Amino acid sequence: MTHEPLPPSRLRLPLWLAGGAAAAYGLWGSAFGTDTDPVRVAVLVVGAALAHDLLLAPVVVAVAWWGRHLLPAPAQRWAGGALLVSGALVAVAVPVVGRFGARADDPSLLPRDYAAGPLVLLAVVWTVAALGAWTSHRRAAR
Amino acid sequence: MVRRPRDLLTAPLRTPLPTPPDRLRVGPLREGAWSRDDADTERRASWLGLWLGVTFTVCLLTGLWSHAVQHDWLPVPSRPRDLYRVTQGLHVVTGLAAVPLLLAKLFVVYHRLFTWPPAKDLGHAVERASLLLLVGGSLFQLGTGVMNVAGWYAFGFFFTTVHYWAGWVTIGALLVHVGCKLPYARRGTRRTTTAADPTASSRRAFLTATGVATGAVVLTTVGATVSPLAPVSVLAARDPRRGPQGLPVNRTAAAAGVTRVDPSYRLVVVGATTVELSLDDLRAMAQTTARLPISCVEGWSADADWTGVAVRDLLALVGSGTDRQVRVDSLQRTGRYRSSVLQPPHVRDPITLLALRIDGEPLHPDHGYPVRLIAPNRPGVMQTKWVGRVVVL
Repeated sequence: MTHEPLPPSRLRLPLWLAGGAAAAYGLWGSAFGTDTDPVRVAVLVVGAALAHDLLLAPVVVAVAWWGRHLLPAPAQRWAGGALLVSGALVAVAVPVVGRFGARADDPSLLPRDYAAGPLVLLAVVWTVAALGAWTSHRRAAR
Repeated sequence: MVRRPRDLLTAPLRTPLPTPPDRLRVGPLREGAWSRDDADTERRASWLGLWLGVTFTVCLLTGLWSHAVQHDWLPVPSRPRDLYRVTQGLHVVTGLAAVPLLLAKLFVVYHRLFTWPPAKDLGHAVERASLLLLVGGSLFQLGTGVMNVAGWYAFGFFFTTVHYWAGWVTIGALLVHVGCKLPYARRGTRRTTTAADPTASSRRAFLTATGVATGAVVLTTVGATVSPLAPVSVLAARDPRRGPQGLPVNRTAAAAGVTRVDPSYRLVVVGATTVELSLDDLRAMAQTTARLPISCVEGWSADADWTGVAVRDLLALVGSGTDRQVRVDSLQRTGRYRSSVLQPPHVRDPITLLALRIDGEPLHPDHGYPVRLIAPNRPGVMQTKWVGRVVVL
């Protein structure tokens, strides 16, 4: 399908000015405020973007490409969906499963069994996806 | 040709930039390297952008509110009792919900990173450069936020101020981005009833999966503050039912260095006059019991029945009214939160307490034995524990 460029919004300039002001205020505070660490923050901000663009995204794009070539059509969507849900759960689970913040004096921080919970979650996600793919496959075959 | 002032202002942005030599156009930059349907990409990106816009806006507003409350920027009312609990719960929930939305959005538009030429004109170059701040800033805010909620402070800086400033940078970059993309987002979220769209069903599946992922992240974490959901929140770093006396703790007595309280302990109250009160003196005063939440800035909250002396009753003892600020100092020697200030609305509130008991029992050391401050609509870090002095300012 085509995708024609559109004329800029009338709100473009006001949004640019407001956004520029907010970002300038934030950059100024990050650089000169008390209790900040500008060098470390800059490294982490740029590093996060680079880590996504150069490491995470290529891996996900490669997995998606293989999925499209290896799996039959109905299974692709279910596998893709399961991958997306598992990826999101894993992303927010890393700090708790790793127990990186655990403190010996405070058992109320990270009080659960973070090995069993996520495994059950992933099992549920992939079982649902497998059942869904199987159902779609049967429907397509009929 | 008549030009409006607005056009003159943006004219430099239309300065064309040279196209780099074609031999640099390799790998993912090659023509046809990405088989993507532009209209489909626009629709996916528009819906995800809209949802991200909602979560980021709620996250920004609740975050600013939390910052304002902690820095006494506003006259904050003492009621409703659960207001801060709700706003901070929303802050953390919308931040977590944004994680799958952001990852899905970046996946959808990733191939645009390899646009050729890299920048058509100066405006395009500025727009693309601002994306580094938007993408990096968003990943940084969500990443360090998720770590912070789990008590993982490996980033090595004081989270609160850095999160505040980086929030302004990220939201500024987002406004610039919205300014560029608004017409496309409008077109992309319009429901069309024209000719059959072969991409529609796969797009629906993708957006549904993103919605399911967002719901799954919320359900598995929100139980840290919505206690009925605690059993299913298997990824939450806190359980509002667990901790000493059934209540989580953020700073323990051991961490604060207040493990032993001397029998000669006296609460010093400084107003028009000064009095020193022993624990027995405090227990002999009129006791108030109130059900109040600890609402942590890290997004968990839990209710308990607190019993103790109303702050305004203490002020009456030293001949002070309730129209002044009151500083509450902890016995802990160090720490950022060893002291907090009560504003007049909180001072006046009859359930702003110096608590001696929790659910009928004397306070556990980790909950601030012998005496802690507990007040309605107040961040947990300002509910000073191990109180040694109360000073009318």
